[in-house]
Amino acid sequence: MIPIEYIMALGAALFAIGIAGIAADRHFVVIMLGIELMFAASTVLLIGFFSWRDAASPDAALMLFAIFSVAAAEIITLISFYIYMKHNGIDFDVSKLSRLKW
Amino acid sequence: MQLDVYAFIAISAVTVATALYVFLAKKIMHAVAALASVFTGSAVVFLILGQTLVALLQMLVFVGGLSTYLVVAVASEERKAMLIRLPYFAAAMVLILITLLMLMGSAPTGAVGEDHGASFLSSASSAFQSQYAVFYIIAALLFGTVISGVFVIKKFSRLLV
Repeated sequence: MIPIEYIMALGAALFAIGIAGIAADRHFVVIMLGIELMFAASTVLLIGFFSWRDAASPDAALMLFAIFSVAAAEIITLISFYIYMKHNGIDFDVSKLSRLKW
Repeated sequence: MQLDVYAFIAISAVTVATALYVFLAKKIMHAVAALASVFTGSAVVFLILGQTLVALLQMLVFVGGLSTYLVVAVASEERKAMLIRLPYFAAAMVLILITLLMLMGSAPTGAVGEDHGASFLSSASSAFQSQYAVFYIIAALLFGTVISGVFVIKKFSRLLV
């Protein structure tokens, strides 16, 4: 039996690493990897709490589809931005992304 | 402690270490490989928690996502000029971790697999009581202020220069 505090600590550590990496890194692709890391942390917390409440509940898998959908949409965003930046010769340093104004 | 707790701690340590390497790697390919290790570690955590279907879904869905990341990683150049700013990274990580752990101090306790009844649902519904309404209003106002601030800066940046 895993204490829920351990699962929360794992989720908090993954989320903190992800958000700190996003705040401190400048490479576009690595920032997207950090967002995926935060998705993984939220998944761990969600499944941990669902398992803590009722291990036999199918609600966890249903709720997880929402997170997977958002993660898939984020990958599509990465691809579109990547193609745009490559096509226009824009550097992957996000501190130089002033050309992406609307 | 039981064997599954030791296994959970070991898998968690490996997962957190590889999560750190996502940002410390000098090549994008290595960062993507570390992210794959994080996903695999979280799937093993799900297996330990008894959620076999979720672990399978995790592996299947993220195979597609990671293959996309691998294509991007192969096409990308190295990031020697854009390495992470380590002092900012360490300070932000410690601050956020302390904040999250303080927030989690009020969370329910107990082990997975025990009978908790409706305590989780009652603690979740307590977040919607009327005395917390002012915090939700402040949070919504702050969110709106940030979004509108970004919009104004973007829209009128030419006037500011």
